Amino acid sequence: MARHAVLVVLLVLAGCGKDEAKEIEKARSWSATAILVAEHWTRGEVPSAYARSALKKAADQLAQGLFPAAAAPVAELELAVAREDRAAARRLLDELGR
Amino acid sequence: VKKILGVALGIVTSIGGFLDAGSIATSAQAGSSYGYSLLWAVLVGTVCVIFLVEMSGRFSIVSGHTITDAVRKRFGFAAFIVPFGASLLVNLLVLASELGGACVALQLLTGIRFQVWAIPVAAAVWLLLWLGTFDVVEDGTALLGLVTLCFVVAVFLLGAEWREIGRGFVPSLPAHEQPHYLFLAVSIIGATIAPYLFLFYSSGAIEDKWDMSYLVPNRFIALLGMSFGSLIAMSVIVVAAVTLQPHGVRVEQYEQAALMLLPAFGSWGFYLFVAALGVACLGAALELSLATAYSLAQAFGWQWGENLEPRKAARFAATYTLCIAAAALILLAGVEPMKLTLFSMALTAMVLPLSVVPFLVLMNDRQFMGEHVNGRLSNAVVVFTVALAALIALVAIPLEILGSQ
Repeated sequence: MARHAVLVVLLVLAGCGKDEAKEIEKARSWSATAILVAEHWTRGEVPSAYARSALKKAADQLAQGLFPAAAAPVAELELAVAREDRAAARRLLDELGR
Repeated sequence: VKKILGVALGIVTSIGGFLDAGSIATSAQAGSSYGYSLLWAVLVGTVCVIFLVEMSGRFSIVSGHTITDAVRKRFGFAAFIVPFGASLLVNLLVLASELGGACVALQLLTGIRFQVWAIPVAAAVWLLLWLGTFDVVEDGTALLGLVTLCFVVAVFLLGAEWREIGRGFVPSLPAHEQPHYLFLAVSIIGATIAPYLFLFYSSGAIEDKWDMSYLVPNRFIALLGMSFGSLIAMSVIVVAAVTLQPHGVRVEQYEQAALMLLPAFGSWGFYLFVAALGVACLGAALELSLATAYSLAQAFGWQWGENLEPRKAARFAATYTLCIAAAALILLAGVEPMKLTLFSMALTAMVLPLSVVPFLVLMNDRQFMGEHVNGRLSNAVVVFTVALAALIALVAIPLEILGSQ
């Protein structure tokens, strides 16, 4: 599912004109934020409370943007953090990295 | 020896108190979006604020007046009240953004939304002002503010490229997003030359009863305190450029900025960022509340002084109480703290002439300053920077508002 979302984003990005450049940049930034937060959380470098709220904010921002599908994998990461399931978060990060 | 210690403490508190929500937000966004290329804006602002802080100390020492008090006397109440009112409104927005920064620090730590913290943080600021003395407020928070030096340490730990950093001090325009770049440039200048800083410094000189023997120490405090303080703001830009920009993270919210110290300090990085943000914003909120109350009390000729018991300066105490309450209400309304910070910093740059021009007139008035009037260099630096910042702000703010819609 996460890979599909990434694919949707890439397809949409490829078809976008200049006007959407700002939104693309924003989506890229929040996706990168989500990945960084999750990576640091799996390494135990940031508290779960912060990771959850940062991932929620990233998911909200992505959902409101041009590429709402990109919010789905971030929401999954948030769920993994809520369950304190670091293995699941690592799996999701691996899938996103592929 | 006592005076040397006083100067050393003054420099240390200037360094510890330099960073605030405005500096952190603007620098983090600048570094993550444009790399080192906005370092020049901090430098321009710093040169100007060194002159302004030195001038405000010199003014109070020589004339025995605070700036607000003297402006009212020199220009009359009618001419004074409109620009004064505009500055007060901007001060209120900046105060809300500082309280917001402290609330966000608590949100980062606990996950509880920043609005929930608005009342407790506002109450803590009010209580410190109500119970504390000027030294406790100024020195206590500024000494705690030395935690912000972690950004300078991070620059060395991360091994930033010094040649690239050097290029950042040469003003340039990026090929894309020029309006936002200019908006950030004026926000940085606004954050560096915050009028409350020199109004507070001027009132502090009176509270601390500085006499003519403080003219030279005042110069050292202004020069060294502001220079070293600005190094911290520059370090925030560099750290954000090194740790966030390569990943494509462009800081829009504090949640993103909180990641910037992790590569340098590991898990400590998160807590250092939270502590730096919380302490810097708390200190600035205290100074701003006081500076606003000082200005209003001096404008209307009320009894004022943080060293006085609240019942002996009741209207002064009521003013900071109302300001803090109003700022908390802005946060409770749900205004996003970082957006509020960036806009209030740009507005600060836009209204700078309203505070600075009358002050400059006073600094050149022999009735107030005698032989200690400003030299040409001081006048030229301040006029050039303030005019430049206000002009860019006039252009950049509408463009930023249009661009964000």
